[in-house]
Amino acid sequence: MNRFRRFLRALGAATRTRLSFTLQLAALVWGVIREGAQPNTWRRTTRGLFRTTLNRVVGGSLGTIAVTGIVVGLGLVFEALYWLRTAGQEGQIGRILAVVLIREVTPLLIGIILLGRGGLAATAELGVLQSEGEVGVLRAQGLDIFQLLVLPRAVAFAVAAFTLGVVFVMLALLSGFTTGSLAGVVNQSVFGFLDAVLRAMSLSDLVVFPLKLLLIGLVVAGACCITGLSARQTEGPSTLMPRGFTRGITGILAVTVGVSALL
Amino acid sequence: MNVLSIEGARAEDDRLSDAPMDVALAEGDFALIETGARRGGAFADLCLGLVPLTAGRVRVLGRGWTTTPPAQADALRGHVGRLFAMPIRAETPDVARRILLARLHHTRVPEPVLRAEAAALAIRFGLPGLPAGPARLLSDADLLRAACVRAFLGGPRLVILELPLAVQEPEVLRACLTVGAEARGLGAAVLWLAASGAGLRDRSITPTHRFRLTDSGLGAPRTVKVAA
Repeated sequence: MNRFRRFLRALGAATRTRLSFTLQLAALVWGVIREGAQPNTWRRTTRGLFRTTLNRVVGGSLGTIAVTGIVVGLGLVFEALYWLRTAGQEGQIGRILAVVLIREVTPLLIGIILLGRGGLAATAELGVLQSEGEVGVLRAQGLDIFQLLVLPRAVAFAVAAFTLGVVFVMLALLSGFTTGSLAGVVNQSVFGFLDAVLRAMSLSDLVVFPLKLLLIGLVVAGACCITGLSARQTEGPSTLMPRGFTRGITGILAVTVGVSALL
Repeated sequence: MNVLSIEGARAEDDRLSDAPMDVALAEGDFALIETGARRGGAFADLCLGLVPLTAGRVRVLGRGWTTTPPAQADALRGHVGRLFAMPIRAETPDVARRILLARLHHTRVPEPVLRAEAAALAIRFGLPGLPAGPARLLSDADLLRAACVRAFLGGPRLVILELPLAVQEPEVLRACLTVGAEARGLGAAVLWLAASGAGLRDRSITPTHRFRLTDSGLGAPRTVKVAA
């Protein structure tokens, strides 16, 4: 009987831990949306960290995004152009790229790159601040940790995700089209190709693309900030970063699948 | 109106005794509390409303922490300067920014004005000016000086110093006393949490109140000398 109770206790503890993270994340996203809309929140210290984070995340990820975008253009856009032409279905190219590249692949890859390039750094940085007592010092100085450390990061990650997503899609389309032109599988101008993709996008595609990217940015930042700020004194980056990575990936997949299922 | 008022406060914190504590500091007061670093930090947290209470109340500038909304409580903490037991982390990327951070957050004073004020204070604490660059380039003594600048910057109404009197840098101690005396002249109260030792008998230190914070609580206040 005692063994069964211990099992139930262990099971319950794990469930509570998992649920507490989900609830914290939901509260954080809601807090960012609610407080981010209030002008008073954006003091110069908050604006300063927003600018710094945005520069660091976009600047740091741009090279990776460029390489990944070109590779995806070669592997996905060019392949689609080649096989649809072979099958005599060139008219379907716009719709296929809109669904596969823009709706599904781009948000997923952007989320993973954002997590790797900026999210884990934020986890380590906040983890060190928390475990070394600096968060307590900031609180004692009357600085709101959410307003000063979390909100600007979350908004910067959301803006960065959307910006990088647009750059990624453009590079993938252009590199795929260029390769297709060189291989002789495209018989239209670049503007005609881009126009075909744009026309194939439905209203829901136009909503899903920015919505997924903004939510993924928020969720990546939220997961990393929560993980960093929940660090214990004995925990260092080597413990926190794997946890932040797992949580971030889970969040990215949840947003991707969830938004696609709903819209 | 008292700057700091602790009335029968019992803290829910294992670093502090369960006995009720009473302290009242008016403008110009200087309280010297003999205690250890860990307990001193907890007491400073209590003054700032960061330790939950089981009884009594703590008020700063007439406002109780338990009845003040969180945003206003943060603004009230902006009126308190504190020299923490851990001065400034060696991993801090920009010391000047860290010194100015709270002032930049709580006020709209232009940054150049704040920098000039901080630079003048830094000189008084023995630094050549406002320290720029990462903290790892500064010695421990300079980081302590930088933390003193942060504590006194912006004319706080209450200054809490977690500084042992046996500090290695006697000129930092003297500068704290001089700048502290000036702040008191302008209406601030100073609360000095110091480890017990020979420094407590230093005749150049003339507090208006002396206390002893031990396992059995805060010793009965004893007025020693009214500051000029």
